[in-house]
Order: sequence, then C-alpha cells, then structure tokens
Amino acid sequence: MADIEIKNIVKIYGAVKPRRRKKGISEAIPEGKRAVDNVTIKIQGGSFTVLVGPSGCGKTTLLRMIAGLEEITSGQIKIGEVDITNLEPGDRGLAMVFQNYALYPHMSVRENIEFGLVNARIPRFETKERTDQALEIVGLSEFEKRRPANLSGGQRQRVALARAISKMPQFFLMDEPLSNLDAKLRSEMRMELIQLHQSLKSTFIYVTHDQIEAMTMGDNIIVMNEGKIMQYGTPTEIHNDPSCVFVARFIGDPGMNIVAVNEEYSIGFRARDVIFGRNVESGDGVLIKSKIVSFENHGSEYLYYVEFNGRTVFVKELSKSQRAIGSEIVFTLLKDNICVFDKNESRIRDEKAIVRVYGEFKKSWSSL
Amino acid sequence: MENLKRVGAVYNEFCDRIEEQKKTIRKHSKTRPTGFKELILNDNRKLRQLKADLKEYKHTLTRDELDAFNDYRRIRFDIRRCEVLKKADKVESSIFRKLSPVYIYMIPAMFGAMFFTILPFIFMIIGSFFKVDLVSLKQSVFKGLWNFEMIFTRDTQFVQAIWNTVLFAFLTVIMLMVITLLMAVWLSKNTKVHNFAQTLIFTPHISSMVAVSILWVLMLDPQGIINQILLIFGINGPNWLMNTRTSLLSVAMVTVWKSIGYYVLIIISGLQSIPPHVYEAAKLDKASKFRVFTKITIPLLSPTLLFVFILKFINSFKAFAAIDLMTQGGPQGSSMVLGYWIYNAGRVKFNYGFAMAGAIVLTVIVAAFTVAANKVFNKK
Repeated sequence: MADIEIKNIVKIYGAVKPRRRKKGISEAIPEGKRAVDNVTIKIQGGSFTVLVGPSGCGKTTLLRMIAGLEEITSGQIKIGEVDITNLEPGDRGLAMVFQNYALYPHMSVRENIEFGLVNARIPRFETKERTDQALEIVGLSEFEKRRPANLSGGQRQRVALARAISKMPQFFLMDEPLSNLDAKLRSEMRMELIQLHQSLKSTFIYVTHDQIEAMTMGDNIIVMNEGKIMQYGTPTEIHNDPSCVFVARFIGDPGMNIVAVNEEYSIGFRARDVIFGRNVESGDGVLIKSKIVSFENHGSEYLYYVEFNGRTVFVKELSKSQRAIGSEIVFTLLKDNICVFDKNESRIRDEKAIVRVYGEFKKSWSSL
Repeated sequence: MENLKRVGAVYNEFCDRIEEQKKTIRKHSKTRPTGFKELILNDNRKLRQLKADLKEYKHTLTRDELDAFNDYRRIRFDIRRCEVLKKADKVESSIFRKLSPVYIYMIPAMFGAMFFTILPFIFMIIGSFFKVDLVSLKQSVFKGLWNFEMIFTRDTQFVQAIWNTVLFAFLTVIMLMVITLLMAVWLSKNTKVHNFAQTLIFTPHISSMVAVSILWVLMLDPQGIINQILLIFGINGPNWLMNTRTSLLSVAMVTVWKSIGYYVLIIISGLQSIPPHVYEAAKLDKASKFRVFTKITIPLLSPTLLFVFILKFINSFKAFAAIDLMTQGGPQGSSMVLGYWIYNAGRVKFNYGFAMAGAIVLTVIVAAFTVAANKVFNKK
C-alpha cells in the first residue's frame, strides 16, 4: 500500500500562490502567518494516523490540503510515486468524512452515496452493489430512502462513512467526525471506526483535538502545534516519551506535571507515576510532602490537586477511599519516571544532564 | 452618630406613614366611610409635622452623616422602585399569560392590511355585482353576474388582456429567472469587481419606473439607439413599441431589465445560504462544474427560485406603470394587460363595475397560478 509523503508543506491564508517559474529557480514563499509551517512527514500506507493538536494548530488545514480542498502555498504531496499536489480532489483517490457530515440535504441516503460513484463513471450494477455493501457495513440498509434531515446525528455520521466506504479509496480522511455526537455514541463509533480500519485495511488519516480519541484510535499519532509537527510516534511513545513540554502537557489525562527546577531546567512526571509514602524497597527517589488543595473523583481512582513549596501538581491514586481536602499527602518520585526539559522546552536525553538535574531537584525540593 | 440615628428614625417613620396612608386611601377610595376625610387630614397634618422635624434635624448632621443619610434615602427609594417594578411585571405576565403577545405585534400590520387590502377587497367583491353609480352610490343597481358577462362577451379587449397578461408574466419570469440565475452564479463571489458589477446591476431597481420607461421609450424609438446599433450589424430594427408583434415583448424586456438587480440579490443570498461543505463533498465526489450546478446548486436553491418565481409572476400580473407610459395598451390592444385594462375601465371610462369584475378575474388567475407553481416546485 502506498504511503503519503508530505514535503515542506506551507499554508499561508490569503497568500497569492507564486507563479511557477522556470525550473532551477526556487520559488519564493510569500510572507504571512503560516497556518501550516514547513511540515514534512511520511504517513505509512495502511496505518491509522491521528493528527492531534489544540484548535487553530493547522491540523484541519493540513488534512484539507491532502484532500485538495485547500490550495497549497508551497510544498509537495505524493501518494506513492504520484505527485498529487495539483490534482483535483476527485482525482486523488481518497474519501473524506466531514465534521458536519456534508451530506446532500436534497438527496436520499442512497442517492447521497451513489452521487460520487455515478460521477466516477462506475457502471450501474457496480454502483448498486457498492452502495448496498457500504450501507450494510454501517448498518443502515433500511434507511436508504430517507433524507438526511430525517436521520439522527449518529445515523448521518454513518451515511457519511458509507459514502466514503463506497468509493473504495486508498485513503480515508476524517475531520473530527465524532465531535458532533454525544459521549456514549462517540465511544461506540470510535470502536466501529477501529473495526472498520481493521477490516478495510486502508489508510486512515484522522483529525481530532481530543487527545483521548487520538490515544485510543491511532496506530500513529502526529501532535501538532502552531502549524508545526511537535512529535510523531505511536501512542505509547507519545505518552511515555514526549519530546517536548507541549506534547507532555497536551497528551494524557491530566497532562504531565511540569515543575521548574531552576532557571534552565524543568522536570516533568505523570500523575500516575508516583509512589505514595516512602519508597520502602530501596529508599531511592525524591520524597515530597504536599497538601491537598482539591480533588476529582474518577470512580476507580482519585485525582488530587496538591501543593508543595508553592508549586501545584496533579497526583493520581488508585484507591477507593478518599483523602480529605487540606490533609497532607506524601509521595515519592523515582528518577526513571521523570522527564527533563531544557529552557527551550525540548526534552533532554543526555544521561549526565539528567543525573545532574535530578540531583539538583532532589536537593532543593525533597522533604527528607 | 446620635443625630444620624434620630434623622433616620424620623425619615423611616415619614416614609412608612406615607405608604400606610396610600394603602388606606386605596382601600377606602370606593366606599368612603364616614370620618375618612378627617382621617386623611389628620394624617396629612402629622406628615407635615414629620417633614418639618426632618428638615430641622437634618441641619444638625455633619457633612459625612448627610451623605450617609442621602445614601440611605437612595437605597430606600430603590427598594421601593424595585417593588413597584415587580408588581408591574406581575401585571404584565398575567396579561400575556392569557393573551399571546403575537396579537399585539400584529396590530400595526393588521391595521394596514385591514384598511388597504381586506376591506377594499371585500368592497370589490360586493361592487362587482352592481352597476356602480359613483355620483350617488345609493343608485347603484344590483345586477348579479352581469358585469362578468359583459366583460367576457362584449368588451373587445378583456379576453385579449387576459392572454396578454399570462404571456407577459411567463415572458418576464422566464427571461428574468434565466438571466438572474446565471448572473447570480457569476456574481456570488465576493471580490471588488463582482461587488461593483452587483451595484451596477442594482441601480435600475432604485430608479423610478417612470424614468426607466421614458428612457427606454427613447431608446426603442425607430431612430433610437437600439435600432442604430442593430443597423451596424445590418439588421433593420422594428418599430418596437408601435408594432403589434413587439410591443408586449419590449415592455417585458424593460421590466426584466429593471428588476434584474433586485432578484439577483435574492438569488445570491440563496446561493450563499447553501453550506460550503456540500460543495466540498461534491468536489471529492468528482462532480463536474455542470453537474454541481444541476444536481446540487439548483435543487438546493429551489426554495429561493420558487420565491423569485412567485414574486415576479404576481408582480408581472400587476404590471401597470410601464404599460401606461410606453404603449398605453396599444397598438390595437396588443400590449393590453389586465392591470392596465382595469385602470382603463375604472379611471378612464368610469365603469367601476367592469373594473371590479376584471380585478376579481385577475385575483383568481393569480391565485390559481400561485397554487400551481407551489405544487410544481414542491414536487421536485
């Protein structure tokens, strides 16, 4: 299966695309705020890749550029060996599911699905067969005569999915397809999408701002911020091994606690990665005494918002009993569970530096 | 501090007494028991006494205390005001619980509709059964359907006027819809050039029909600019307004030209209300421009198109000013439309019975066509 290669893509809204000059002279990129800033990435064929980031980070723009709905200011997109940068959206061999479904309101469910197939000059018997199949996959066969206005939100979403499936595309592009559904339906659809990906074996590119969706659905996650890719990796990598403060804070529920050690360095640790009480086994680690400011009850676990030395962090305890607000909580941080960041907010992987920062942290913050 | 307390106490008593007095007045205002007047007078005397006291005590206050006292007064007044407002709210809600406010909002529009549409219409229906004598209405004679019979059988131009009206309406509506739809699709982009063109197209709409008609009478003159331009291409233009074949078409052309700008605006707003993501989906569905236009734009625009169709159709039936100024129904009744015929019958020949009967025929035709148009468009 072909990979998607994105090379040095830039998007500047309102910019006039520079005229194509003779070969050999590089094209000048116009000035302006870059919605997508020099993104280069290779999306593997057959993967379920999730683009995640806060609102306005350029993830939807990037997806729409892949789809061909947004003009590319500069850069190149290739599918396999084919350069699709200047192809029409319909010729790219991909299907898109929109956030607001984008169904044709004046057509029935069946007509909605068939419209694209008829335009692609697919013979009538095959159109019918594919439509039937797609409707069956999403379980809407009995609704084929209805108009979108007479369907529920979840059903409309399924029609949009069926429309995409019927085209048998190499790539599915999904632009926050679940954000208009309620929480229960969303988790159901999440499972169905994962199953769909497994059965169709096409490439899915999925845009979301919800990091939980990203973590649960993706094989690969691309974290974006301000038009740039912050990190690319599997969910586990992104969660456990963030490459910068932004990713550490953005991924996870809650995001990583970041505590400044001195002017230059800061450390981060997950709310889950603490040991309550002293580390009895080896006596290692930084012991921190803190006071509970507030808490959240997550059912099987408690998330405490605690304060120590004027810093506030989250810690998570897997326990059924709840500690009182204002009471003292003592926990130990192990060296293996902390990440060290420099003042540019990027991760430090140099072992010596980590040891030094850890030592300093222990000296200044430990309550021992 | 002592002084302030004293002043406050007097002020409170003063206010309470006033309120109490008001209450008693309200209670007894209808029955007026004996001794009521004396009671009030007594009260008033006491009140006057309190007021004098208050004035006297106030002099003893320091500046700060006076400020505090004024503040207190303001607060007391404010509380009182809020109570009054609450009462007013209660009254308001009790009114609107029984009476939907819709009726109140309707009053201005209903007033206009009543006196300028509904009553004249009823009067017209009644009048159409009479041989109306305008000089003394009492001498009008009831004649049943005589007016209708006469205009259909005896009047030389009435039947022709009906056909002309229908033809005129179809001509204008079809020309207008085709031109405006194409123009709107072209103009719906939001650039400087398009906005400028939109303004240009809109200008005829804001100029008066009289001015437009006179302008076109001059342009359509046998030696006018249009025929001169046609002559460049070697075409010998007809005498547009004086030819039985072209007179109606000429008027239709002028009406269309005048109203393009207005209807283009309506269609543009309709186009802009089509959600953009539908077009994006169509792009991904590989739809060609023509297919997008026929399969997506037109179906999604059909409510707007229906609106334009009905609006213009009814307006065409009412065509009057252009006909009056350009052809006056001639030559040989070739451009006689119902609107002008009615005017002619009523205001020129003073045969109001005929005019009213003609107006009813016009109303029936408009209603029939509107219903038909609704049915046809709703099917799509």
